[in-house]
Amino acid sequence: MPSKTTTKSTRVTARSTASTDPRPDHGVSLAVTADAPQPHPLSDEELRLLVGDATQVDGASAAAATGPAPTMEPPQAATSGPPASAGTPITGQKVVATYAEQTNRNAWAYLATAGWKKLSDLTDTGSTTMTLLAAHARATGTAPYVDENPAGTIGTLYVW
Amino acid sequence: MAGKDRVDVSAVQRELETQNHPWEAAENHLTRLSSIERARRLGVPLPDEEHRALLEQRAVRLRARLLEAPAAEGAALPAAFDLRNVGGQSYVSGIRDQAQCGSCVAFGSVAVMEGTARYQRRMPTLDSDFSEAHLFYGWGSTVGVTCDTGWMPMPALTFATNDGICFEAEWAYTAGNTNGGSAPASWQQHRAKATGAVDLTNKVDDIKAHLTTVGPVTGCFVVYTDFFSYKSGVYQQTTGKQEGGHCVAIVGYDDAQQAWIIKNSWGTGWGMGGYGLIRYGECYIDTWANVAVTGVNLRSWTAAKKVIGGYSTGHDRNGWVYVQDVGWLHVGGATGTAHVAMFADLLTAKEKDAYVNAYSDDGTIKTVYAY
Repeated sequence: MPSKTTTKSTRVTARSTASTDPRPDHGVSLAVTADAPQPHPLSDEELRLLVGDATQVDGASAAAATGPAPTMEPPQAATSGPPASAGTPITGQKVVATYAEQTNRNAWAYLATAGWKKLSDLTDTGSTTMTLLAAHARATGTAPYVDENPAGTIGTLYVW
Repeated sequence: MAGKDRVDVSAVQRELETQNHPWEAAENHLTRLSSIERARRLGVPLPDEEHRALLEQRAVRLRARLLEAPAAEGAALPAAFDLRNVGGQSYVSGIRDQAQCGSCVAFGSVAVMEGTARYQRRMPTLDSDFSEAHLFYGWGSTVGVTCDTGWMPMPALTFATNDGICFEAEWAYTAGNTNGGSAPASWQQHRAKATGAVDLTNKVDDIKAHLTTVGPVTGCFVVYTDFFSYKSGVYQQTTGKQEGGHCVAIVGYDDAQQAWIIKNSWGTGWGMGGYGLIRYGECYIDTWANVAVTGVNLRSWTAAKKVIGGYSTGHDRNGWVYVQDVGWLHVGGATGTAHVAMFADLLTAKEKDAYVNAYSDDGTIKTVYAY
C-alpha cells in the first residue's frame, strides 16, 4: 500500500489492466471511480502492443535489440514534434505517488489527473527501469511524457 | 612563397568581368603557389579518356534536366538546405587544411563521417574530430596510397565502414605524416566506424535527400586554375588549364542559385571561410564520385557530462539516457541486474545534477562513473 497520501480528490480515468495483481488502495488515499473497466480478453492489437514486435534475443547482446529506441528530443532543444506514439500520450501531469508490493512486476504511478497507472509488466527489467524513472519524476517534480497502451498500462516513459 | 607560375588572378578577374561576374576571384595563399605545389593540394586521379567521355555525357544530361521543370520525386525536397544552419544549428565540423599532400579524399571522407555523426544524433556539439591521418596514412597506405597518388572516396569510406578510424587526438594529421604518427595499439577503444557506404553518384535528388536526412556527401570534380582564386559567388569554370582532380564534402545546396555548398580542405583563407558554392553539373561535381555513409557508430568516453533525460519501455533492458552533447545512449548490461544498476546510477546523477563519465560502444553504455 502506498504510504504517500494526497488530499486531492481526483477522478481516475485510467482503464485497468488485465492483471489480477493487487492494486493501489484507491479508497484510502485517492478517489477512484466505481466503473473502472474490468479485465477483458485482449485483442490481437493489445497483445501485439504488450508483447512488442521485437524478437527475443538470447545472451548479453539481447538488451540492444529488444525494445524501441527513444525518439523525443529534450524540450529545450526540440526541433521536432512529440515522439511516435503507439498508444495514448499523457503529458503535463506530475507523478504524485508511486506504489509497489511483493507481487512480481506490479508497480504503479499516480499521475496528477489521470490517476493510478500500472507500469508495463512486460519484463522484469522493464518494470524496474520504469519504476526508477517514475520515482525519479516523483522526486524531481517533473511531468513525464507518458504513452499509455490500449491495455491501460504505461508502455513508454520519458523524463526530462 | 611565390611560385613562378602562380595563378594570374587579374586575368581570372578580367575573364569573369566579360561574363558578368558569375563569381568573385581574389588573391589567397593558394594563388601564390607554383603549379606543382597546387597539384599537391588536390588528390583525385583524373579519369582516363573513356571515363571522361562518360562523365561528360552524364554532365550534359544533368544540365539538360536541370533546365526542365523540377522532377516529381524531387518535389518534397526543400529548395535549399545547409547543414551549417539547420534550425540555427551547424552540424558541420571545422575547416581543415590538407596542406602539401594529395589527401583531399581523406578530408572529404572524414568530413562526411563527422557531419553524419553529428546530424544523425541531431547533436551539433558531439565530439567528432576523427583522424584523416588514420584513414589516409594508415588504411590508404595498405593499398598503395600516398600524397602523390591520391585516392577515391568509395575505397576510403569502405575502410571507414569495415575497419573504422581513430580520433584526431590519437593520430593528428600533418602533411606527409611528418610527425611520424600512427594509430595507438588501443585505438579500437576510441574510434568511429561508418555503418555503411552508399554511392549516390549522378543522382542529384538522392544527394539532396541524403543531405537533408543523413549528412554530407563527397563531391569529386576536375579543378581548373581559376578555382584556386575562388572567393565567393557560384563557381563555374571560366578560364585556366586543367590542374587535377579534387574531393570535397558537399554540405548543402541552393536551388535558387543552382549550386552545391561545399566544404573544402584548404584552410579558411580560401573561398568564404573555407566554404564555396559550385554550380550544379559543374566539372563533374555531382556525376563523378558522390559517396556518403548511412551512419557512424562511436566508441568513446563521454567525459564529464550531465544526464538530461531518461527513457524506458517495458521491454527487457531498454533503459536509455540522454547525455549532454552526446544524445541518447542505450544503457547496456550483460544481465538485467547490471542494466538496472547502471540505469539507477545515471538517474541518480541526473537527480543530483552530478556528472557522469560513460563509455559507450556503438550507442550502448558499457561502463559508467557518476560523481
